[in-house]
Amino acid sequence: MSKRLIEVKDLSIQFRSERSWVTAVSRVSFHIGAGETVGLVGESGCGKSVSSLAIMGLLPDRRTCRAQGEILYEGRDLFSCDRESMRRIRGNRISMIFQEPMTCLNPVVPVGKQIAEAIRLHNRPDRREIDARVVSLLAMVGIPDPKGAAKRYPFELSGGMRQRVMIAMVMSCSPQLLIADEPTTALDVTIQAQILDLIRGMKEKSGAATLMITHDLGVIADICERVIIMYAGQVVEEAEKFELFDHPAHPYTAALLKSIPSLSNKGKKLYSIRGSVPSPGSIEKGCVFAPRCSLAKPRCLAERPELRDIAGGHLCRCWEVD
Amino acid sequence: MEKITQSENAALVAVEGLKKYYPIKGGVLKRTIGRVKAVDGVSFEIKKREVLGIAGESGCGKSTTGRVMLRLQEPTAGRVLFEGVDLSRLSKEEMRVKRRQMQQIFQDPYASLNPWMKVRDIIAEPLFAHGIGDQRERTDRVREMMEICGLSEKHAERYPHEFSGGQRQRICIARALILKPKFIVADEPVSALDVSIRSQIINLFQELQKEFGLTYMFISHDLSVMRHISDRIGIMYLGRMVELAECETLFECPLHPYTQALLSAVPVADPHAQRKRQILQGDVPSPANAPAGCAFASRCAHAMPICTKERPEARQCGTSAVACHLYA
Repeated sequence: MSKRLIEVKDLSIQFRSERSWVTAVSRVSFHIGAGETVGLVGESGCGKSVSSLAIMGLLPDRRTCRAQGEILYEGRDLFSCDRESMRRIRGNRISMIFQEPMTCLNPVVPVGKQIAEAIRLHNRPDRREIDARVVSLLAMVGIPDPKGAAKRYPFELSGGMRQRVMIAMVMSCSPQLLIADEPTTALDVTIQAQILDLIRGMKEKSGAATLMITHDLGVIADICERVIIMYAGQVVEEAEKFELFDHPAHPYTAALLKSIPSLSNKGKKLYSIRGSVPSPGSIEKGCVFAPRCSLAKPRCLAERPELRDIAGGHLCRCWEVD
Repeated sequence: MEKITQSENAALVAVEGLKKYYPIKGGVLKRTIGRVKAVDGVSFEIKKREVLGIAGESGCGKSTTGRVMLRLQEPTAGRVLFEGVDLSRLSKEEMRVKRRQMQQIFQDPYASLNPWMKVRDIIAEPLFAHGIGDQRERTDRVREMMEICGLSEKHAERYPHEFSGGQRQRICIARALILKPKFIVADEPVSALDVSIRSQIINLFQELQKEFGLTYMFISHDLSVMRHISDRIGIMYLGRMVELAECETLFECPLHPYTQALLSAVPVADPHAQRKRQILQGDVPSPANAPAGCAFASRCAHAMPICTKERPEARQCGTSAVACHLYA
């Protein structure tokens, strides 16, 4: 296995609600090796986006949100970093692209200027050099007429083009870790294929590690090497991609794969998981998936299982799996 | 005008040369300076008890087609026949009565439920609106409908915000079905839902179809859901229907270059799937400035000189209908 670029250890995140603290993420641990593409899968509210914000140091302040645990970046704990050194890591070493590029771009500044700002903040080269860099970045992400596009405002570009601009911006500082939070969810299928292709190409060129956050197992099968499955704030399974799709161990993962419409279940009733996703912190004891699990035994409702290694790096959090 | 038809018998809904243009106003006098051709000459039929899927990317006019079919918006040209009756000739009152037989379910169950109303009242509202039944009868029908849609009786007194997305969609479905309609236009009904909830709602749609003998027009961009639920699928691109085929035929042997590219772009949840991916270049042209010839010509790998000049007519090709010069 390659060198560990980032290591999340026992990360717990709680948010303040009216009367109490609600646990959004509970003792999550995972790591990403240099140059590796890891998929983080889960449904809305399972804590996948919050975990990634913690890595970026973008959690809200202590009054509304508290985090415990460690996030080690090349062995350095990001939680104990001061603001200035965190600022130098963020954007420069670890960059993030979001689901909706329109809300990430300043609507009243031409996109070229916004990319230039990212370069200037982190590298400080002279002006002419910056302009050339912006144009070459826009060309690299496949924007036609990069010189003209640099002068355009975000609203003049389509969703796919805006996402390309975002990618150009994050690649401008050649980060070692790229966090992509549902980067193609807001895009059409044919544009999604373009953007996934671009992310794959960028990764090959720059050798950056990627954390791909998505709910779409199709995207995972396409682009990732290792997959982490989250449910209700916990990691429930982690495995190499082929191992996960071929031998899903956790009942939740297995059910998720079964509930995707495919050729084999055409016309038949689709497999579905009963009930709905629990609200954060509502399940206090036992396995978080037990109320919806078809294999649940009394023990599952009473005792919380730990994440265990079941077969050479295949981790699973379930009492019923050996 | 293209016409995509299959058999004439037992069509519940027939759409003929449907067009919907939106004016673009500009200048000081707010004169019409252009038109957005949201739907540009679409024809098809939906048979009784059939599920017709309409797929396409955002802005291709699939939702507008659905809205115009239910006359939630007036068509610019063309007509919609429901059981042989031309809907655009009906008066407002006649249309109101006709709407009992056709209902729409929307994508966003958060936006389509009134937050101030209890679930019981939301589901009963169509009965009030159409003056059906007395108090007792309405209560019974609401209870029955809720049970069918998988909601429990205790939910009746709650408000929409107390429900999850999947349950809200169940409320929307119960409200749409309480008038016992024949035809349902479902516009992206599962797109906003999580994977584990999505399959519950898809199953509900299929159970309801069997139980009530419903006819669906299922609008979605998700082709794997489409393949699961549809009998036939129509692919739209820039306001036009480029291909209409039996579900399996479409997936096994797509004819139109756009359909081929679209199918190859769908990510499949199987890491072993070895596929040659066809990545389309560029974006969909703006419907305000639609090309003269084939709408897809600017992105098509097989484009010929004729494609930019002449708009292809839909032709029957086996069981499929396709609008492409390659099959002339």
